[in-house]
Amino acid sequence: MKDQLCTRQICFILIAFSAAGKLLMLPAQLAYFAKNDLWVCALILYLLQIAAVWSAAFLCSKSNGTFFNLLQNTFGTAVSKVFMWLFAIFFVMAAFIPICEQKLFVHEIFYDTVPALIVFIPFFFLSTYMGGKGLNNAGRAADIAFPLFIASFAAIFIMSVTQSNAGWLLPVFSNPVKDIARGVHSTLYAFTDGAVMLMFMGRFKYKKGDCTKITLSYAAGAAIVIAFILTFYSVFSALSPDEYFAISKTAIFFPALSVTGRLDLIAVYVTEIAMLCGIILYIQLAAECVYTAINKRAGRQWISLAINVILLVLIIIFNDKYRAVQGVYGNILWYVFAVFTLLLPCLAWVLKRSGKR
Amino acid sequence: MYKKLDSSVKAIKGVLTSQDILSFEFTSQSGRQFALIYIDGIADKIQLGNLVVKPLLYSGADDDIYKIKELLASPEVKVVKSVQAAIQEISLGNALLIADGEGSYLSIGLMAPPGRAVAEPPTNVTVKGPREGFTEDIKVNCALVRKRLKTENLQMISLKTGKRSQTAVSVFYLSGVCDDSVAQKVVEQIQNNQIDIVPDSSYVARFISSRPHSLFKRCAHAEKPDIFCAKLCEGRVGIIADGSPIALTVPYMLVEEFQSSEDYFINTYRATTLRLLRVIALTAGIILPGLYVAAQLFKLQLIPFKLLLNISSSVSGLPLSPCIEMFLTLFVLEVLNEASIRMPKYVGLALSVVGALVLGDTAVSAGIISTPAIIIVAFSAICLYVVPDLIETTATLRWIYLIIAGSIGTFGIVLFTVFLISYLVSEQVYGTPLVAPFAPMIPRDMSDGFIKGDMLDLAKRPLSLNSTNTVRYRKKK
Repeated sequence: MKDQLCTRQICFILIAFSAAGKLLMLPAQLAYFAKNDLWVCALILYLLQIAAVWSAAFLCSKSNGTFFNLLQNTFGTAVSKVFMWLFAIFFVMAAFIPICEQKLFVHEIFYDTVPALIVFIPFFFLSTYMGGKGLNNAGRAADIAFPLFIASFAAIFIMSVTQSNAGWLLPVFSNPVKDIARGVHSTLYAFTDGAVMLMFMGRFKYKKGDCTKITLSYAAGAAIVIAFILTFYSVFSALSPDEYFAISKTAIFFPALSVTGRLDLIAVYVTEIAMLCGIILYIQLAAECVYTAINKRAGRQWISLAINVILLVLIIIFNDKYRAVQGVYGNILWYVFAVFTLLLPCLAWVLKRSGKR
Repeated sequence: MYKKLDSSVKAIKGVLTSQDILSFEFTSQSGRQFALIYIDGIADKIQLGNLVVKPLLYSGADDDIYKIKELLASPEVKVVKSVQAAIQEISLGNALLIADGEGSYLSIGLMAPPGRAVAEPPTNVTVKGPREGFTEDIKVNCALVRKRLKTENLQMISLKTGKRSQTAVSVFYLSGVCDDSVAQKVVEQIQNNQIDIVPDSSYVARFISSRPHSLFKRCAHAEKPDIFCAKLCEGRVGIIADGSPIALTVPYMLVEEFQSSEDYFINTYRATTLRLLRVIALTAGIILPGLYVAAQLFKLQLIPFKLLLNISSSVSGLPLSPCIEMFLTLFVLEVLNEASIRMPKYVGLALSVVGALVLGDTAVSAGIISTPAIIIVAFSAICLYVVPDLIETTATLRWIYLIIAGSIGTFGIVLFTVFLISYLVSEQVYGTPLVAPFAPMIPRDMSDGFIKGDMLDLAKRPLSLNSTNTVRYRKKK
C-alpha cells in the first residue's frame, strides 16, 4: 500500500488536532464533576489513551498491513468488512458531538448576537470537500496547522497564566473518588485517539523508534491539555463548570486586551483551524472505513457527502439538544467509546499478523 | 522542386504574396544567376550583403549547392529540399538563396529583428545584485543564460509552438542536476498543445499547467537571467519563449514568491526579516478588509474600544452597510489601478488628483464612505504589492474573503482559510507539492523558506525538487 502519511504528520495530528478538540467543553465538564481535581480525571483519561496509542503504535512495528488487513487475516473478508462498517459508524458518532460543540462555540464566540443555524451550514461543505480527500490530505493539513496551533495556544496560555491563581487547585485529591470516576466515564467520548491510531496502521512507513515518537507526541498533547485545564481552573475556580468554550475565555482578563481589543480571539480563531481539521479527521476516517468496506466501489467524495448529509440531518434534529446529546454520550455510549478506543487497540494484538517487519 | 530560378521564385512568391517579402537577384562571377528572398525588416541586409552576396560575386566555384554553401561566410546555413520547406524557412525570418539550375535551396539564418536592448526589468528592481533583464528576443535571452552557466551540463531543447506564429520556445535544464523526466514532460506538454499564436510565455504556462483554470499559478516567473540560472541550479526546468521577457520555471512552489533575488545578496538576518514581513503583509492585505467588515458586522469585540469609538463616529450617518462600503471602496481602488496602468502617462497626474481628492477626500466629506474603510483598502493595496507576482491571486482572494466575511463573518474567514489550506496541500506541480517545504514538511528545505539561512548553510539543493545531485556547496579541505 502506498504510504499516505509520515510519522511526523501522525505526531502532529496527535498533538494539534487531538489537543485542540479538548480545549472547548472538556475543562468545564471535568470541573463540573471533579471540581479542583479536574486534572486528575484528565490525567487518568490520558494515561488510558496513552496505553491504547502505544499499543496501536507498537503493533505497527510488528506488521506492515492496515488494521483491515489484520482483521482479514484473522476473520476473513466478510467479518472484517463488518468491522469496518462498525468503525465508520463509530467515527461518525465521534464526529457528531464535537460538531454540536463547534456549532455552539461558533454561535457564541464568532458572533455578538446568536445567529441562525444556517451560518454553521458552510462547515459541511468544507467537511464534504476535505472528507473525500483521504488521509494524505489530513497529514499535510497537520503540517500547516501544527505550528499555527502551537503559536496561538502559546499566546493564549501566556495571557491566561499571568492572571491565574494556582491556589484554587488546592487541596489536591479533596474530592471523592466517585466524582472523579464519574468525570472520567462522562467525558470518555472526547478521547478517541486509540481508535484513530489504529486506523493509521499500515498507512505510514514505520521506522525504528517511531512507536516512542508517536507515544511521546501524544503525551506532549496530553501535557498541553492538562496544563491548560490547570490554568483554566486557576482562573475561574468555582465558576469553572459554567465557563464553556474554555479556550476563548481564559485569556479574557489579560490587562493589555482592554487596550488592544480582544486580540486573544484572533489566537482562538487560529486554534479553530486545528479544531476543524480534528473534527474533519473523523469524517475522513469514517469515509476511509466505508471506502475499504465497499471495496472502493464508490468515490471518497460521494462517501464523504453521504456522511456529511447524515451529520447535517442529526445537527438539525438535535439543534438545541446539546445537553441531552452529551448526557447520552456520557452516561450510555461511553461503553462504546471504551470498546473502540481502549479495548480494541489492545485486543488487536491477538489478530494474525502478516508481513512481519 | 523547380530547377529554373524564375520558376522557383514564382512558385515561392505565388504563396508568399505579402509585399514585405522581397527578392534580390544577382549574377555570380561564373555567370550563374541567384536570387535571395527575405522578409523586409527581419533579415539583416548588411550581413546578407557581406556574408552571402559578396562571396558569390567574387568567386567562380559555385558548381553545386554544397559548394555554394561552403562559399558562404554565414554559420547558419542549411539545405532545403522542397518549396514547402523553403516557404516555412522564409516565414521564420530566414533568408532563402536560390541558385539557377539547382534542385534545392539554402536557408540562411541572418536575422536582425527589431528589439530593445538588455535593461533592468521595471517590475523587478534590485538595489544590490545583477540588473540585466530578459528581452523579447529569445536568442538574446538564451545568450544571457549561457553567459552565466558555462557548463556542459546546460541542456537546451528548441521547440516551435503556435500553428501560425511558430513561436520559438527553449527548454533549459541542467543534466545531472535536474530530474530529466520533468524536462521531457514539459517538452511533451508544449508539443501537445496547438494554438494559432503564442504571443507570450503566459500561454506556455497554461500549456504546462496540470490545472490551467486554478486560481493559483503553476510555474514561477523570472525576468532576470540571474534568478533563472539560480533556479536551474536548484534542479528546475526553465522555459523561454520568443517574444516574451518573462521566463518560466517548473516545478513551482508557492514559497518562491516570498524569495527575492536580493535576499541572497544581503545579510541573512535582514533577508529573514524581509521574508517574514512579506508573509505578514500578504496575509494582512488579503484578510484585513474582510476582517474589518466581519468585526463591524458580527464581532465588535475584535476592535479596541477607543478605536471602536473613533470608527463609530466616522461611520455614523453613513448610508451604506460596512460590507457595501468596503466593496465600493475596493471597487474604486481596482478601477483606479486598472486605469493607471492603461491610461497615457500625461493624464496620470489628473488621475492622481481625481483619485486622491475627488474620490477619497470628497467621498468622505460627503458621507458616502468612511475614513477607516479608505485606510484599510489603501493599506491592503500596498500590502499585496509586496509580492507583486501573486497579485492576480491575492487580489481575487481579497474579494472572496470580503464576500464571505460580509455574509457569515469571522467563522467564514476561518472556514475559507481551512479550505485554502486543504486545497493547497493537496496540489502538486511536476511531483513537487505546491506548499513544500511546509506541507509535507521538509526540515532541510526550511532554511530557504520563510527563514533565510546563510548561503553557506544552503549546502544541499532543495529536497522537494527531487534533484539527482543534491550537493550545491562543498568547501575544499
